[in-house]
Amino acid sequence: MEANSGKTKKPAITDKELMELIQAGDDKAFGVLVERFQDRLLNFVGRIVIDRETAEELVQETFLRIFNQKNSYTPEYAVSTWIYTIALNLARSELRKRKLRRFLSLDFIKEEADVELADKVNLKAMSLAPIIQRAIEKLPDDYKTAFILCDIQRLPYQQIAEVMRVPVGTVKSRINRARSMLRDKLKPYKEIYYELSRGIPQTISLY
Amino acid sequence: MNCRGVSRRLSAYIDNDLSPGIRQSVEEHLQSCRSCRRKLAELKAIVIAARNMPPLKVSGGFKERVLAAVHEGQKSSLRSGAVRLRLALAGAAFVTAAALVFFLVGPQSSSVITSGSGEKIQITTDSQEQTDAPAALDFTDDPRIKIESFPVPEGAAGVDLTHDDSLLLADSASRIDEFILPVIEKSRENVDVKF
Repeated sequence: MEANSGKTKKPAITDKELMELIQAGDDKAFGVLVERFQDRLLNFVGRIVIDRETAEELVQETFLRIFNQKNSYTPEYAVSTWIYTIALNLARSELRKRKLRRFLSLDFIKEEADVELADKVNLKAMSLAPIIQRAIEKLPDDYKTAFILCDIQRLPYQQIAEVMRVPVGTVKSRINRARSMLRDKLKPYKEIYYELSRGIPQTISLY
Repeated sequence: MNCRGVSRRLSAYIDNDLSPGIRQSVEEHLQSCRSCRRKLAELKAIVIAARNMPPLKVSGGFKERVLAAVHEGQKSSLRSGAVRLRLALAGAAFVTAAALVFFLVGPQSSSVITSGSGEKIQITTDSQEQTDAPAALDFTDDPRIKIESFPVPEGAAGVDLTHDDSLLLADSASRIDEFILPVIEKSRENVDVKF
């Protein structure tokens, strides 16, 4: 450990500095931004739209918009807030299109029936992650977004409020509701996830 | 604090987002309430489980694809700029040509037709050859238009059927054939479409 102390590690460039370089036309800086946010955005968009291929397309589209609208970013907000807002708008638009398509095709009736059946058949075979993912997927869109931003992306309440463009109080209430709804939805799997909470401190440090 | 009050605050309690006073009240309640303790444990477990979900990772070559798409977009926006310029030039050329034709051919001619109701209709033609415009529109010889007539039951014409509840009966389809269609046909006959 001490052997490495001779090397002074160059502090990583901040997101805002990176954006300044991108705005000045530095393509290399844009590549760094892509690397920095690609997985974070996929974990956000991918939990909302679920379908992996579409999620990756939306993340790519997010980066294209970031590049094309780079001059519309102002340092008043965190770069990540701006980026998440763009990604959220694209994800919401995809969900709207999807709902319309499902409504027009009436496939949702069949889909719901299939899901219920799958729940019963695969109850024991499924690992916990897909079960939770499916429960998250079924939350109302605004609750789902708040939950993902808070509990998967680990953003502070204030930043979630800025991304979702709602007051902080609304964010807190949506997170509370989302967690309670998940608790209800996951009741059949209580034994599995309850194990996880044993032996941990009562409060979880978020930030 | 009662169970309801605590229940509403459990999420904020997990996130350590309660003021010290409220936090203390929540903790006091939790010590004496098994049901709320269980609920807290379940909520915490869900939060932990969500955080422990395996992270998604973009597929190989993602960054390169994004950069390629950005460069392609730059090229296509340059291309679309050139197309816009060409379109603007073509538009300008078209307008000039149209203006030339207007001055060479001369002013448009027009003829006035008096309709059946005495209203004057002006028909404007764009060349000298078409000054002999038809004085009336006659579709009777047009093979595309088929005129069919329906027998009108006695007393059906002129009757307001919109509030006739009997039309809601099971055989309403036949009643529509019997009453409504003839009335529509009759009303068509009454419309004078002569010019």
